[in-house]
Amino acid sequence: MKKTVLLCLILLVSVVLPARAGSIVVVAHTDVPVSALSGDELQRIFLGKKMFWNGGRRIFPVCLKRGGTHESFLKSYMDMNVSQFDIFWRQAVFVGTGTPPTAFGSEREVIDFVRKTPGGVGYVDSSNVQGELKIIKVK
Amino acid sequence: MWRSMNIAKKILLPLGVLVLGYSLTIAYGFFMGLQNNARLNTLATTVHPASLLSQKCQRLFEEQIKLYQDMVTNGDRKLAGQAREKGEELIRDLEKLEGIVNDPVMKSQIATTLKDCRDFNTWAPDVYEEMRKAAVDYSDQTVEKATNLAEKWKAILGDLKRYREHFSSIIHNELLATGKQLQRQGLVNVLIFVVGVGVSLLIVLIIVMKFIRSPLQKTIEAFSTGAMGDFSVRLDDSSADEFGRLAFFFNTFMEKLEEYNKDLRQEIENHRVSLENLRKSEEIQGKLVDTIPEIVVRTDMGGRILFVNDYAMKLTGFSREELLGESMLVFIAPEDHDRARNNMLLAQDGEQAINEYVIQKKDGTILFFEVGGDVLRGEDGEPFGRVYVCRDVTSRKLAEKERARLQEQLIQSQKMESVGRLAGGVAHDFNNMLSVINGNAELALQDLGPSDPMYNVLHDILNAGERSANLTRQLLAFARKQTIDPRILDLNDVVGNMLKMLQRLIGEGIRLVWAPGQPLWAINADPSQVDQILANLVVNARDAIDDTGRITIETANVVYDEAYCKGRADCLPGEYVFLAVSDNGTGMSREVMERIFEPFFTTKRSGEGTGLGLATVYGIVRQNGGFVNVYSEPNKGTTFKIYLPRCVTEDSPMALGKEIRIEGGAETVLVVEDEAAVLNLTRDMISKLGYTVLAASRVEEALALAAEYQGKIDLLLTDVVMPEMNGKELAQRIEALRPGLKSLYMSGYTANVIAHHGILDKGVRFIAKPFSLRDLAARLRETLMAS
Repeated sequence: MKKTVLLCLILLVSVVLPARAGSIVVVAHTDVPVSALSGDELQRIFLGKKMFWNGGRRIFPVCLKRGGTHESFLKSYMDMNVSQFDIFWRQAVFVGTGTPPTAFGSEREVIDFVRKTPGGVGYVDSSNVQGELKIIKVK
Repeated sequence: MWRSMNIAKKILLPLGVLVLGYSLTIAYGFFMGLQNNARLNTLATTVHPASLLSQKCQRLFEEQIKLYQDMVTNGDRKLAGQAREKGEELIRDLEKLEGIVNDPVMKSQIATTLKDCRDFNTWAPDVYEEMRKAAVDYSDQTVEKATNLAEKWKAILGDLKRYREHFSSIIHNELLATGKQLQRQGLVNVLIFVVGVGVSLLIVLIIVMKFIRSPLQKTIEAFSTGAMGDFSVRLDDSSADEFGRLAFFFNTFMEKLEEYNKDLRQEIENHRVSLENLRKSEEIQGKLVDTIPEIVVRTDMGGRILFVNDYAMKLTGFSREELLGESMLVFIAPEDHDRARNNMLLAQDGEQAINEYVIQKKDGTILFFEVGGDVLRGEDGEPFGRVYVCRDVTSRKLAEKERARLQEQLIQSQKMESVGRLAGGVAHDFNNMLSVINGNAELALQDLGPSDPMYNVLHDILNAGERSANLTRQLLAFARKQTIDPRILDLNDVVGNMLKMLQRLIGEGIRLVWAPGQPLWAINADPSQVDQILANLVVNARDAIDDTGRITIETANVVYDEAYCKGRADCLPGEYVFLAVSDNGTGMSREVMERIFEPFFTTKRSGEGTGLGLATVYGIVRQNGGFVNVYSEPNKGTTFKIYLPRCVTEDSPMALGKEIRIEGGAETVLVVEDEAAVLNLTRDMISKLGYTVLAASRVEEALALAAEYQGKIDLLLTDVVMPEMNGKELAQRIEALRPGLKSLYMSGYTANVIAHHGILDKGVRFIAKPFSLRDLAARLRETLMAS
């Protein structure tokens, strides 16, 4: 019963605070052939399970090392917290199944890397979006 | 060899082969078991420890990796030490595994893995420590090392898995192979079992069919043939088994049977011949029993008839069906039943006797039988029936009765003979005296007129004398001592001449009916005797009628055959003329009828009858070869039937009824009579008739007269019985002297030879004393006139 009440509260918060999520945008290099991604596709890209864009170009996902944007992104789009995201990638590296996204200390570095790296994709707070970037709409 | 084996060996041999097959199969199974055991031993000593070690190695390495992974993920540095210990234990176990494994390839692979493990243990602590420290922010070098190391441990883990799987696979395969082999072995066993059982059954079947059923069938067929009576059947006894011995004994048995059968057949044939002889004998005996003129009957102890011969049926008129099962008493007349039952009981007690019974035929006829019987007894002595032989003694009984009757008749005859002797004894003298009395009375009457006072006296004397003469004549007649003079007669003439006299005799109140039969045969009889018969019968008839009535006289011809005469003692078969005198008077009782012919038996009052009338009739009829039947019923009447034998002759019956006239003559008559009074009377009577009389009282005198008399002597009148010579001899002597002499005999009672026979020679003239003048005149004239 308690679990049911908790689940209901979480759903309520998600509905009441859409503006916060909406402040984080997924940006990508402009040659990225897509302009929108599903939530599942976005999770697969950042967990190393989708490694190529449609058309064959390699995906280079990047993330922030820490910070609110990183936590919000993980929480909003990956449905994970920071610890869970780290443990996932430690085990993946341990078993040799993937390389974790390159982590930057600032959103700027993220924007720069994305902008400069074809196939690059990252996330920044919407307020920090600048330059030639493709903002990927997450459906 | 096979033939010399008995059935047990013949069965055991194939079964032994079968057991040997089974033994080989079991040995093969044992060998295969050893193989499996060796394989399983290898598994237990080598493969199974290797498999366990490989599993342990895999587990240890997986635990080591897990410890490193947890260390990297959780950042716990202490886990590195545990991981290192696991790694060292792994190295030791791999080295053990390498030592156990014999396969060089596997050994080499394990050695390689061992080297990789050592390398991993060398590199892994550093790389993972580095990852633990760097958190998620790995450098590319770190990621690369981690990736390489991951490749390494994955390869090691793959090898260890492969080893484990390899050994598991070996165990699995070996077990599978062993299982398959065992399965195959089981299948083979089942197959061998099935085939063995099949073969066994087939062998048993073959043995049963060939060595048991076939000879058994032959034996059964042989027994069957033998049972049908063919004892010549034999079995093949060459085999040494039980069937061979059975066949030997069967053949011996059959030979014995054949021998016995032959003997038995011979005995049967002998028996059949005996039976045939017995049957023939029985047939002959049966025919004898059926043919003998005696009734043969067999009964049970209850007297029920079980057998009768043909004669019994022929005689009694019963059919065999009517007699069988009936009581023996069915034969016997009811009045003898009690006696017969009593005799049967006595016979049962062993008393045998011949009894006489009256047997009653089916038609009621009575026969007399002598019945002899005996009790039939079985071997145990118990009686089971009776046999009777019944002899018809009817003829004997009748003969006895007849004998009795004849005896009675004999007595009667003797009685009559006595009377006859008495009568005859006196008749001669009596007749002579009567001749004198009557003759003289008659002569006196000739000289006296009716007005003379002596006339009536002499007439009375004459009447009394004639009645006395009649009485004497009757006495002689019934005694058959009467000298008769039979002639050829027509009975109708005799009766016709008597009718007037008879009518006078019976009086006015009784009607006399005369019914002569036409034409009537002639008879040879003395007419005077017929007159006597008629007179006697008519007088009796008259006396039987009280006032008025009818007397019928009839005559007819009859022929009697043997059948008719069979039951009548007097009757002889032949042709008869009967004279019946019937009246419708009082009739007679049976008792009277039985005695009517007895002399001096009379139903008339004393003084009215002499009792000689019917006795005379009987005597006359018998004297003439005839017989008398009497039919009488009380209150209805009586019929006397006189049967006189027919006389077959060319002579015509003598004419009767001629009026006898007193006619004299002039011829010379020689009279010979030893009785002086009679001689005188006769001489006077002849003289009175006009004849010349020469009288002689003795034979010598007569012969002298005949010789000496000068004139012709025409007739000799002589007494029949004389002291010196009888009349016939005298006549012959005188006839010798005087040829052509005629003779007339006279007699009262004659005892000479001629008279003994009762008949004078044919043609001889005769006159009975006493005679009247009229009679004498007639007889003289008749004799003289005869040619």
